[in-house]
Amino acid sequence: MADTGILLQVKDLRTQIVGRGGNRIVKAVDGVSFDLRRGETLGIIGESGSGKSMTALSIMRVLPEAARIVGGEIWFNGENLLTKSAAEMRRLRGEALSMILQDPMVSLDPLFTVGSQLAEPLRSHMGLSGSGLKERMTGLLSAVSIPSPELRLKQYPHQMSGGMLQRIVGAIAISCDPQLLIADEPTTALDPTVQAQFLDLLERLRDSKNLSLIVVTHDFGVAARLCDRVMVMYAGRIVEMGPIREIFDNPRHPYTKALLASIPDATERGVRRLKSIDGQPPDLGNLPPGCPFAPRCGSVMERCRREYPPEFAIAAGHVASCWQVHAP
Amino acid sequence: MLRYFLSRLRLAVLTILGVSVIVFVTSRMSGDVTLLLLPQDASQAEIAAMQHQLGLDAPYYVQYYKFLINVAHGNFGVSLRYNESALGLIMNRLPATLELAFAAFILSTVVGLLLGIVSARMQSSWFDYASRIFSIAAQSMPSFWVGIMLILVFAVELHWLPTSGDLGPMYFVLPVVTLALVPIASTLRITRSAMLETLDADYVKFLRVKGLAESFIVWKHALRNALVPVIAISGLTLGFLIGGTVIIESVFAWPGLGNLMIESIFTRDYPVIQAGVAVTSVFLILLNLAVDLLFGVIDPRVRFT
Repeated sequence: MADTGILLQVKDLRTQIVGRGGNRIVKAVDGVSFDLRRGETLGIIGESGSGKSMTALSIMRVLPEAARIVGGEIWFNGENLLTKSAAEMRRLRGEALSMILQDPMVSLDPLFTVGSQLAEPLRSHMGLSGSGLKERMTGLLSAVSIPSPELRLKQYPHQMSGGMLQRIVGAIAISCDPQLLIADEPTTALDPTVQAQFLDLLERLRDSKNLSLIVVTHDFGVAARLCDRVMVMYAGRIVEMGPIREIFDNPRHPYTKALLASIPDATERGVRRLKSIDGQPPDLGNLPPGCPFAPRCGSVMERCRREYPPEFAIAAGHVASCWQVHAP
Repeated sequence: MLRYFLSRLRLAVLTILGVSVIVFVTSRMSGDVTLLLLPQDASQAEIAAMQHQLGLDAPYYVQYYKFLINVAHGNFGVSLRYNESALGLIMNRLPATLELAFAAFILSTVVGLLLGIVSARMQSSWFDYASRIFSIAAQSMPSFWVGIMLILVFAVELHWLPTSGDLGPMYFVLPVVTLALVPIASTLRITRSAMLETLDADYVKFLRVKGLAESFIVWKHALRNALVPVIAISGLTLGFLIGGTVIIESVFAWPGLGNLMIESIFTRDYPVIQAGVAVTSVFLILLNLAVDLLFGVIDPRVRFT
């Protein structure tokens, strides 16, 4: 690693979704802080509704209409993204920060050719046109291992498979050489065989372009494959964060343990019932006062229901928010 | 694309045949034209002679067969009332109606699209509420009443516009506005909901991720996607407009096809009714064919399947 400086630093990020009529406020992201080095890969893990995608969208500032960032700072390359104007932010998006969405089948406009959609950011950010543009586009498609790029550029999204489309989305996302790429559930909508190929591709792109990568996923397998570090989110907060090996070998938060236990193990002999976590994720519009995981936690204590646990350091770079960790 | 075109064309021909049967039968079921053509004290023998002379005593299928043969030769028969070529009468009146319908179509499409886009972009603002109230009101008010009210206000009271007739550009304003009101409302509603749906789509989110300007996203990508359902109803809108002129023409004494058709229906002038319906339905079916083809142009998923 040439430059190991910090590229992205998120401090106490708070994003809320205001419900109809404005009387219901959902704390989708509730005081999230982390940082990301150049060339590093960070995984954000959690169930649906844990706030992992909202964290990613907050960094890109492409939140849905009803969502607002109400607090915190997002430092990128020494600049606070939250104080940027909409126009400044637009210039950074696609150029310095980029993102891959979950479902490739609906990530591209069905009425325009793949080529025209790949050309858009290259024209607007890099000012390319003519043969330079064409060369760059075929180069990008080759970089994501798409055979006969000239032909594919003229085709429409509905003429391609999901795996092929996700690679095209990847090509668009890296088209202007961003420094940070966020992949939001990049393989969830793909066939298992294609998933592995796409993860290989992400890895290759990251290494060849020295990208910093944030992978949002609910799948520890994907995280293990790509990430240097992971943060586990629950109810809009980080409950545990650490190096990937450390989290696998020494998980400390009951939620992380439960998630790890729910991974189906193909190597195990005989039939084992898939473990699931009892109960439902909490209603983010109406959170209990203490730890939000308390109602589903197997080792809940009295204190958990009253007070939210702060972050406790466990090992180098490994933290967890759980009273169990603190307990003498 | 050619296969798509041919399959549409085959359907169009079948539709025209179906329409001709329906019109042929229903116009004859509406009553006996000879009773209107002969003096009131005509004898049974005179009526029978008249029916024979007009070919109305033959069974329907024979009459229809003769009608089809004649139509194939471009002959829609002679008006029973004017003793002129039925097709000639229709063709004389058609331009006035088409001018009215097309002017209303262009007005409703442009205004409906613009209002719909602005409404969607300013969702839940006062503008959005106002345009939604307008569209419900416009679709609920009967057009003959709206026409009369507009005449009362703008012609009788304010003297800004002429009441009726077709003597120059100013004469277009009131009938076109009256006619366009309902399609403006339906275009507005469809554009608004299509636009809202599109702006919420993942590919729009991805366009934002790419750092493209919001106006570019709205006017290039979102608008084109929102146009798909608008085009889908434009065939219906044109049908509504051409049919709708019948009432508007009588309110505004417009010298168009609608007025001629009403007259012909009252006087049971079969050849003119048949020619009129045949011409308008062929016209509408061709327009719908054009809409289907336009669909293929704008949406590649239609073209390639």
